[in-house]
Amino acid sequence: MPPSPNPLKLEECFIKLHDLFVMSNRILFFLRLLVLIQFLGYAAKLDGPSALNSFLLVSMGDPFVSIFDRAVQVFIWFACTALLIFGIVNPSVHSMARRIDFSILGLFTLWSFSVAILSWIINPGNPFHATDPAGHAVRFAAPLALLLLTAFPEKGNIRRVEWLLRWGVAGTFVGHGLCALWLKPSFVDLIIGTMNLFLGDPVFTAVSFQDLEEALTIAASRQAFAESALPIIAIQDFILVALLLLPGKRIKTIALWMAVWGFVTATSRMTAYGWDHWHDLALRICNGGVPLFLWAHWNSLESKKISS
Amino acid sequence: MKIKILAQFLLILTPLVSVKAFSETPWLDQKYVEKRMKSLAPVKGGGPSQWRVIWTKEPSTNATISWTTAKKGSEHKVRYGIRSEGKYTGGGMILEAQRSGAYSGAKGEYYHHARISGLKPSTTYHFEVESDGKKSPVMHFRTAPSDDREFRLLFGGDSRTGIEARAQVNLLMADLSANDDQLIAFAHGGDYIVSGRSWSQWSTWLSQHELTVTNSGKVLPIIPTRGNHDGGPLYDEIFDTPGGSGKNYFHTMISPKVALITLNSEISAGGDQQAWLAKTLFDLRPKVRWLLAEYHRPVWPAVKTPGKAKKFWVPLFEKFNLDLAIESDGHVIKRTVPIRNEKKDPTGIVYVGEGGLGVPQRIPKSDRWYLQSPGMTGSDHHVMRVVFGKEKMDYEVILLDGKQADHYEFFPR
Repeated sequence: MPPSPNPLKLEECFIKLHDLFVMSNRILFFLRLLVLIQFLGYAAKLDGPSALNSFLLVSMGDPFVSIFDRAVQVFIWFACTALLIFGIVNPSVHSMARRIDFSILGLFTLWSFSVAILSWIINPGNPFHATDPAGHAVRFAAPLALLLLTAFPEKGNIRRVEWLLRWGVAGTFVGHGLCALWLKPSFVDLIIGTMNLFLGDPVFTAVSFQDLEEALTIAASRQAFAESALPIIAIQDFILVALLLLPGKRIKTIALWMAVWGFVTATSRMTAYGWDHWHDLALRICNGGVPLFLWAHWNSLESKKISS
Repeated sequence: MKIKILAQFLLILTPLVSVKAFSETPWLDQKYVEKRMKSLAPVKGGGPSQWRVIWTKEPSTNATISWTTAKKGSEHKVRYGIRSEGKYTGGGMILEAQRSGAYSGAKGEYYHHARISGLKPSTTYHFEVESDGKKSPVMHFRTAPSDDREFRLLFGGDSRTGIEARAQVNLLMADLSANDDQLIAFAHGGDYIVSGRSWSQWSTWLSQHELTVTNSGKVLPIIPTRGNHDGGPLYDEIFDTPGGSGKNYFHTMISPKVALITLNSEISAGGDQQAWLAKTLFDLRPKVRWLLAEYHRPVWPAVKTPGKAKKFWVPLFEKFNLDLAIESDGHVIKRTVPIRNEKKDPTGIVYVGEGGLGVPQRIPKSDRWYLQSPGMTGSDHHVMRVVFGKEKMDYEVILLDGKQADHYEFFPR
């Protein structure tokens, strides 16, 4: 008669298996921080009219649309504070606090998704805005992922959420890649503005006609550089997306590179236009943050596999 | 009994008051606007319609006369000249359209552009356009001066979405133009229609532009600016690619002492355009008394967040002491305090406009520091009129009812 297994050892084994698939709270908290920062960016952006405001202006008129925007802005401030508190306190899934947490994340998802779609709708015929539903994908994928991971932390769900995030990152990189390929003027300005920051702006420093002639040459060369770099950036974006979406593969280097690139491009809003554009970086924090989240998650999976 | 008499009196009085009120501003009457819109030249057959005069670089000697036909046709020309007692003195000139083509996305409509040069400054030219033997009415416009005389321009932006309101503002402009020989052109700040790729929307705008023509046939030449809703090829097809393909920025020497720089906020603001702006400002500032810039997206907005061009253009505006910057896009009325180095400064640049040629109006964020008194904000359909004099430049905002919403005087720097 074979010996019966030790119930204590079996339990340890189950715990290890569970740990392998359940995402650590630290990684989840990181995702929460990303969502929070992103929505602080949304709140700051509401100093100007939102896409929903512009969409409703004709039918509802002002002041309704302005009041609506203001209400959303105030809601986001409070909601971000609540998200932070819930992240620290970590209430149980069935508690009222957690239900509020879920509601906030649901509304955040809805808001970022609506903005992406309406930004396209209110700018008919504009090819750059037509990419917004894809380009903003990571912005609505992140709060949705956080909601799903917190509400349903089971093994199968984590895998599905991981793919949701992969597709979100892919959408964002495809959207930005298309804009880069079509030489979106604001992207050209991001490169020129950043070059001007580090290399100096010859136009502003020119004092004579001769200086201006030279400045014209330098400005033209910077514009030419930006316009030739953008299609290469676009190709890089598309290749990264293809590698990120390879089925059955988790290429950590790709996720890490996407994270670095996402942060660099998001930060270029500040390097090109100044510190007062912090909200442009905050709004795009998930462009680099979510690939970094994926990298961290894959890393933890790997280390857990090794230890188990 | 008394109430009955009073009611009858009011019944009689109300239409009388309305007739009196509408006789001066008939475009406030919806029926009048509808009637005028029905009388616009139809775009059908081979005959000309949707006529317009376009100014870009040297309007004292050059103008482009453009129109639409519903068929390709074979012969498209302009007859123009100086008229006296109903006849062209010197027989009049005939010019074939140099550029014709099908409007992108249209159903067989064609554009025609006749670029006229060698005109005399400060001269009224009569013209009629002719396509395959079918003629437009005889109209006229006045060339820009080559001397330092006083004249006026209209400015405005955002004629999209509100089609009836747009017609009303156009009729207001025609009225202002009819009563003012010194009013010579109209600079549009962009966002003509909702979707720049929609021919049907452009076609409506173009037909309604006819409402800016006065009863005597006076046409206000248009100085176009590209807005964020004006993407696609139709803008260049309609305005004959002002400033060059892919650029759409240029400067207009309206007189030897007045220059208007039209910028394109829908392409890269840095790089080539910024360098061109610097060179143009460097070149123009010592020559002119009044130096203005117009572009669509505001850098000191009354509603939205600042346009990206702020970083690239504003230091140049300040370095070369621009006299006035005209912006659109926000759908309000605004005039900032003079701004220099991000602060209120009496030597700074004043930014006006934000667009009210028909688009539904917003409520301005008047709590922003640069909109505080002596700056102003408002919310109404409007057009701006600027008088360029030797001693001062008078800026005013005129509402649909003809009332003045804002007035400001600028003095030479």
